[in-house]
Amino acid sequence: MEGQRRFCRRGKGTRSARSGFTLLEIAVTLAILIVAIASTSAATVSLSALRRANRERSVAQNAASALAERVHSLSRSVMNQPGSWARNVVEAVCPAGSVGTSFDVPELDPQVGLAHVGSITFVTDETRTDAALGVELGMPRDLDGDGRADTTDVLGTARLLPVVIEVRWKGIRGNLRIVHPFFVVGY
Amino acid sequence: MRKQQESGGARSAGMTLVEITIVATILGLVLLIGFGVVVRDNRLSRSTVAIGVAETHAQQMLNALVRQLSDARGESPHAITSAALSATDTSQIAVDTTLGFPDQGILLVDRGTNSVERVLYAALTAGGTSFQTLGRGAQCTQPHPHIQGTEVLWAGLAEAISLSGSPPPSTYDGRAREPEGPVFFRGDGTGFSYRLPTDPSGGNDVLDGGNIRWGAVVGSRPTLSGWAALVFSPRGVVAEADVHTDLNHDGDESDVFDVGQIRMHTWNTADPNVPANDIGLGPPVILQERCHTGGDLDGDGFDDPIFLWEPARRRLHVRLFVLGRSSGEVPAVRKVESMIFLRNEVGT
Repeated sequence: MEGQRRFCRRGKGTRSARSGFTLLEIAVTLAILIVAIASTSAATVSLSALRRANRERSVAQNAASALAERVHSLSRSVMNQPGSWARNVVEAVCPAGSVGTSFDVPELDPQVGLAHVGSITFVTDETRTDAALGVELGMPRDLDGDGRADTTDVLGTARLLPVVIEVRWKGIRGNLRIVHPFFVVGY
Repeated sequence: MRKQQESGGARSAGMTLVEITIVATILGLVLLIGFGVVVRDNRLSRSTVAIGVAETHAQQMLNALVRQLSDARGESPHAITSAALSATDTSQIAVDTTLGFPDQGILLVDRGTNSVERVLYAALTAGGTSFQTLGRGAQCTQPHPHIQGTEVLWAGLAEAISLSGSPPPSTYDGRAREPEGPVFFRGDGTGFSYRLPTDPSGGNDVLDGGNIRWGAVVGSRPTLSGWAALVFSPRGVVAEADVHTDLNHDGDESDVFDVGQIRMHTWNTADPNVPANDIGLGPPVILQERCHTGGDLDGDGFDDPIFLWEPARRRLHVRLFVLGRSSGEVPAVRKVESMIFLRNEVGT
């Protein structure tokens, strides 16, 4: 009897003390319950996605940073080699005849339409602008020390070489991109 | 009137038994599914947080190492025994120099021969000519006698050596994957010995003319006779058999791993009586296979030393495999790696 009372709504207006939940009330309760559970579940999935996104970004940044350090190391090691310093640096990284190449990063998937995740580009044209490059390197700039910034190919004479590393990947939160611009110095 | 009241009472008397049964069934199903979802969410949340913490720790440690080492000058501790050593001697190993060897650690003696032995040492002598208080036959090796003139290396350092193709296994200790291709190395890769630009007066003037003054901070004082090393220090053990997980992806669950911490030692090479510094750089979550230190941890067929030093390229490759706990206490291993160009390195 006590239990029955507990499950019955208190009398209100014309409804008696013995009246139970209506189907509508049950339906509303269930809907609220489902929404609450779905919200919790969505929050958990979101937390997991956030962790994954952070991991992806860390991996991308580490890959860009490691490649930048490798370029610095190469720049130093070819310093005393015969020929142009800039050309030696570029040829140590890129296929013959090009000033850029692409690379993959473990754990990251390329974006749709791209074969690789990362790319590295050496800027050998003094007249290129930051706007055209999409980075802040202070371009156009004198790269070969001749006092002017008008040479379109300084590969044979450059003492300062702008480098742009870009990592683009298809992440759990869509397409993402980081860009790491820096200089290597041939002195 | 009574009829009306009875009929009105029947209308407000709640659900029929059939309705209650249907509602109870639906409610039961919803609660059951809800419970399952909540349990799954709970496990996923715990797993996410645990792995996230491990990844954060690994990244923070990597950042700390990059900050610490980018100005450093790497060293390759190397010595030759100046007296014969019996298989039972635990007092000292006399060598030509101990410069660059940490104040305590593990030596690799007679590397590449059948008499290879790892020897623990607990101290250096003031003159820098012997390692004191020995533990013979350490890390799964056996004690052997060693003649005068034997090569002694610091086991911690993995240094790249010029080998290619398929050299005899005795000529190297491991083979790592590098951007330019496989690199052979000797040593374990559990440590890195280095010095930093130092102003002994405590200021910021690290130059002496055009040269950098090298040293380290020992006991809160910068000194030119100071030296530093990063060392993997085991703190616990994880066995694959206990966690039912193939942690290093080698196809079995029989390996045992040390779980430890990267610690920074600094010591005074001129005066071993000056108390050395010993600072932990992060939580004890770094994984290394026992008796196969520096070995393959991700199943790619290449070894994974924590530190791989390439003096010719002035490059230090840092690989950290961090152990976290995912749902159900199942270990999760995460790798972070980076490369550090030691800009101030002298010569090549």
